[in-house]
Amino acid sequence: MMRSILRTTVALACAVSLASCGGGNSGTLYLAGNFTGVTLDGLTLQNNGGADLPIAGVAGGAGTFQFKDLVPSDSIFNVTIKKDANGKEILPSNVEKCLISGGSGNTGLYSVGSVILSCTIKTHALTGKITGLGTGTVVLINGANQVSVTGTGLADTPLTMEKVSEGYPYGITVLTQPAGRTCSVTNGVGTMGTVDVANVVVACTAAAGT
Amino acid sequence: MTLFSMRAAIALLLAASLAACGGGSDKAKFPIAGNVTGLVYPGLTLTTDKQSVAVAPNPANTSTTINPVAYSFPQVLEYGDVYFVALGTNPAHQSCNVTQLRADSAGHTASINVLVECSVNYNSVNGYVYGLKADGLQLINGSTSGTITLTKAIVDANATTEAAAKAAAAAATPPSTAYTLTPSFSFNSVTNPVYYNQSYGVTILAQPTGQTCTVTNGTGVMQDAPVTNIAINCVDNPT
Repeated sequence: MMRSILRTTVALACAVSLASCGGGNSGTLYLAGNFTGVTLDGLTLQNNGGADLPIAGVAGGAGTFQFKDLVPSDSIFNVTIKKDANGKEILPSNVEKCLISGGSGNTGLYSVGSVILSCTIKTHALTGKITGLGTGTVVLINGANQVSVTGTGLADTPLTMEKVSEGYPYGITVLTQPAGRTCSVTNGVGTMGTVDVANVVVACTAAAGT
Repeated sequence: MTLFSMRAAIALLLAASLAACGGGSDKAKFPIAGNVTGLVYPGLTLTTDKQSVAVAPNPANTSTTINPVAYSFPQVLEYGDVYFVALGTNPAHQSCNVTQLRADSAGHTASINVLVECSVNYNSVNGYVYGLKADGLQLINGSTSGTITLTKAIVDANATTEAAAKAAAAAATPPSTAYTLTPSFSFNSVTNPVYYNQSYGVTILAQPTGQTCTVTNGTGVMQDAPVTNIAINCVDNPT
């Protein structure tokens, strides 16, 4: 009799302790962090290769995340990006690469809220040509990006603006006209797609009255 | 050596050692010093009790690299003197903050090092839309400031001509000559700042349905006040 009670108790204790280890759902601490550069869906985080935590894309690309499963104190955590069958990280289509900092360690006694996922959005070239510039100098801008181009006397002068992130708008305007000439921009406004833009044309002609 | 000369020598020695004690000349001296980060334009002065010092940008600065610059107040402090470093005047086009350890007594730490941080001022880019009859107008400032989508309702809600605003102010009780105009659109200075001397170029990313809009005064270089003179005129497309 006594022995059977003891056996039952031991068995129960074993069951409880097993449950507390299994499933990763027995902890008391949360595991969370921030992300930047995620504007599209597709990226999934995992802790110790466990349950999926999809990171939904947001406008502006910045937000916070928290794993649904709590983690035990004094346990190892390791946040990684879910990989495909070939071992390659699955990233949103517009992302060049992602880095995770503060993603691994030992929880110790406290919850972890400092995991940082930072993704870099792909950029593409914004180029074209300037016609009729002669040897003048024109200053073209795409918002804060300023490019000053001086002609060499040839018919066409190449134009290269700063690269633009995929999905971002661009709009090229003339900040400073060349002396005695007026330039206007064609194909200068749009939204950067998945390939380089190379068809910007800045046409310069003799200014009216000169 | 005679007794007399011995006496004279002792007296001299005593005098010399007294001088060394007097006036605190061997007390520790503490220059009030530190670094200024982010300083681009001239005009910064810092003050502490009865002193001030002008700080010029680091001559090694380039258009892309802003180096810290060291400063030091002209008079040094003695052990126990108190100091409180404060901003005298901001440099042109910038705002500075005196950060940690701005006030203490000399000798509390081995040396006095007060950091000052400066950043270039920024402003919003605003304008008015005229003649808009439909939705769909999208404005951008290149790739710098995101996209603003304007609906007819937004523009109508903010649409007040200068003449109408003046008339409303004059009709108020009591009458006033002060009035404010609410721009039709604003590239917000907090989330998408355009810094002093940075270029801006507002263009139309998408036209409203059935209309064509053109931008006037859309391009420029940010000065020390918000840009408010951009005009966007919309006309119906020919049918």
